[in-house]
Amino acid sequence: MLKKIGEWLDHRLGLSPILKFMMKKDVPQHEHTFWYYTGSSILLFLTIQIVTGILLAFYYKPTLEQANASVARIMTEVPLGWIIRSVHSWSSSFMIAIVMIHLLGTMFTKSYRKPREATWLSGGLLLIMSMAFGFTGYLLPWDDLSLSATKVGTDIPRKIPVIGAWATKFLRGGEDVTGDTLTRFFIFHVCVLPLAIILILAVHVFLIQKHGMSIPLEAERKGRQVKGLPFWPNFVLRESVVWLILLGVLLTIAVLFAPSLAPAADLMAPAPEGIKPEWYFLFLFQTLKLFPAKVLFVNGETLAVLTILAMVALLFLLPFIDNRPWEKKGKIITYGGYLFLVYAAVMTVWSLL
Amino acid sequence: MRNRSILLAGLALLLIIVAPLVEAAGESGPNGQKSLVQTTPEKSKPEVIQPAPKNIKEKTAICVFLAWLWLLIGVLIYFLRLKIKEADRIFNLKFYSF
Repeated sequence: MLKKIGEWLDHRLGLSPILKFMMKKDVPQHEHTFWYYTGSSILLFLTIQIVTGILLAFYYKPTLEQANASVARIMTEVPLGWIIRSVHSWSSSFMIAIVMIHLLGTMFTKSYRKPREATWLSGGLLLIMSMAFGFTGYLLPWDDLSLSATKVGTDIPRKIPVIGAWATKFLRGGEDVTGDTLTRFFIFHVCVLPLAIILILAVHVFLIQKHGMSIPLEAERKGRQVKGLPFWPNFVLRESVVWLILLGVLLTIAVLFAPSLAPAADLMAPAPEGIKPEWYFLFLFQTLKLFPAKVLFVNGETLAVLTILAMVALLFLLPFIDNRPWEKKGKIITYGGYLFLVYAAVMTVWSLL
Repeated sequence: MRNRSILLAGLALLLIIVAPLVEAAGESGPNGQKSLVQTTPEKSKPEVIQPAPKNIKEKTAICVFLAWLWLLIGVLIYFLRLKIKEADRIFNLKFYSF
């Protein structure tokens, strides 16, 4: 029966070449194979985000008066609403964590080397978009903490020379964070970013299919043959085990540590103490705090923002900078990556203290 | 693998058996019948809404849910392992033309 439906669809849509292209892939088997599981895990969490996000959108009202009350309603009146919200919130953290692990895995195994530069660039864009999802979603419950964190977060681009003031105004939908910002963030969160992420993800997946999965640098240099495993069904079945475990961990954490909801934000109230962004922004937050008010003749905050932007640019240009990864330069870049990882971890812990 | 699956299933079953006992004990308490909605304070000053269930009935329901979830995951992983072994066996026989 299913086969007949499949044939019927294939005759009309001609999907079989696409399916063949998607399934025909060998997954290299070596000591770093576990990094390959992170990619599909991101897709799993993205799917959970989309499904739970749609469910939340049925009840959420993105207006100044009703945003906090509608989240409160989701948590207290809507059946299983608090679990859906918790799963949505936790899966975003899981997704960003795995995107970061995926990126680090690609970086340390030098998988961005020729011809996979475009795959790296699209992956970098996906990381930024995932973080943008987190940033825009943080404001939606409209409590004091999210309002203040958004005020701080949207004020950061102001320090960029020339376009800074415009960027802040564009993000806020005005001079200050108001109901317009909330509506704007909601539209970004549920419309603009999902469309963009799906588009770039399609490009990213296509590039992975086109170039195949990278093999270890050493093996490539020495022309050593690496044993491959068929993507379908051998690797997909293995991935399913990882998905099930991740799903179990996500649901357990979401049920046991569901996020609470603070009262609605008061636009006239002073900023509360201990404003902190989401965990993945903490190292940037702490870095910004470290810079003095003035460095020579330059504004300290401007210098901090420009430094962060330069780091992001370096991250994107990594495949072009590290173009001979087997040489000394490549090794120095790897150590630089480890150093950055330690720095980010220290800053995050420091910010939490 | 088989022993691990049996152990996992046993643990889950133990939770399922113990949970109603805890539930029954909790219901006899003074706050036993409070629901999640009722825990929202009806004061003029708004307070932080804690989503975690307060009463023993809901806590038990969550324990049972998690037990069933992990039991299901354990069973599915067991069957997936069988499928993986079978797929690898066929692949090693060069059935696939990749």
